[in-house]
Amino acid sequence: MGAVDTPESSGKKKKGGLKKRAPKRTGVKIDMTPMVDVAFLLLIFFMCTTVFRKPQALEINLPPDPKAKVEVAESNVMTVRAIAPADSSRGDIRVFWAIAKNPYTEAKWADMSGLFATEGKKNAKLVVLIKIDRAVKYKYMVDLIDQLQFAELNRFSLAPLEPKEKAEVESL
Amino acid sequence: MSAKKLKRVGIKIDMTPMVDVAFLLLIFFMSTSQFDPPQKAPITLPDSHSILKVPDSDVMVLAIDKESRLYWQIGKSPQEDTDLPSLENLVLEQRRRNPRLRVAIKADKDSEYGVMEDVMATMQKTNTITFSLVTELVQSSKSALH
Repeated sequence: MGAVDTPESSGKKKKGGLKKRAPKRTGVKIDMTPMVDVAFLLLIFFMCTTVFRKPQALEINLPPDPKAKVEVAESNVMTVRAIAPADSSRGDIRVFWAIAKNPYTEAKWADMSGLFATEGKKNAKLVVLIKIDRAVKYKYMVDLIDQLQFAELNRFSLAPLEPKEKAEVESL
Repeated sequence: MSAKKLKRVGIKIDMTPMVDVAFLLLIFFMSTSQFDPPQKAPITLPDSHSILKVPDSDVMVLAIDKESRLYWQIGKSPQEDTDLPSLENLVLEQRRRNPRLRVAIKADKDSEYGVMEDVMATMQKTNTITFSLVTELVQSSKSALH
């Protein structure tokens, strides 16, 4: 008698059966733990070192020619003199201001922004001349420029404070 | 005979979404971070309300630290020392090499104004009449003076 193909054996071993059985899958398991560890480590590193904000900048335009004279009516000129007091108990800044030829008055540093705002409103043509002593900290200059821009007094100039001018306000 | 072992319930947490998010953040931070070029001296910037940004390219950064020492750098190159007398030639030289170069002055807020005054005088001598003072933005809308 001829051999009888039993469906069980042919399905397993021989090709060309009715149903082709899917190849047996080998379960490959990769341990992801070290990779995830490294990923988190890098993540934490980048999160800690990233700084999102960029520094800001104050634009300064100097006059092209230092010898050029700009004629401004004296009544429109507000002069601000800033000095560093000799004894540090009085803080590290003293400011004095005057309009036109009036005598200098001392102002509190915190009141400068209000002062610029009121004077700017009174006279739209106001030009501010800033004279800062060399010993004053740089941040006060930035603050002054910032306050002037805040008060929309965009016409200002910086000039060196002469020793005579310094002595004049120091005695006040 | 022996005490019956406690039956352990195997808890399996699917970590896939967490790992996905972790990688997403990792790639984000890796691609957005820019490393600051090395600085020779720490500089605390003063505050201002200016919203202008320091430009990204063609910038020469002139740093003034608390002790009034001067440093300069362009782009990502390392910081180099300089001083007031040689500043004029340095700025002229660098501006000749790159006519679009802009100068940004990054001074410590506690440095003396006198140095800034000298630097500004030098800028005027070299005809670099427009430059930026690098500051930090204050969040309050009112005043930096308080």
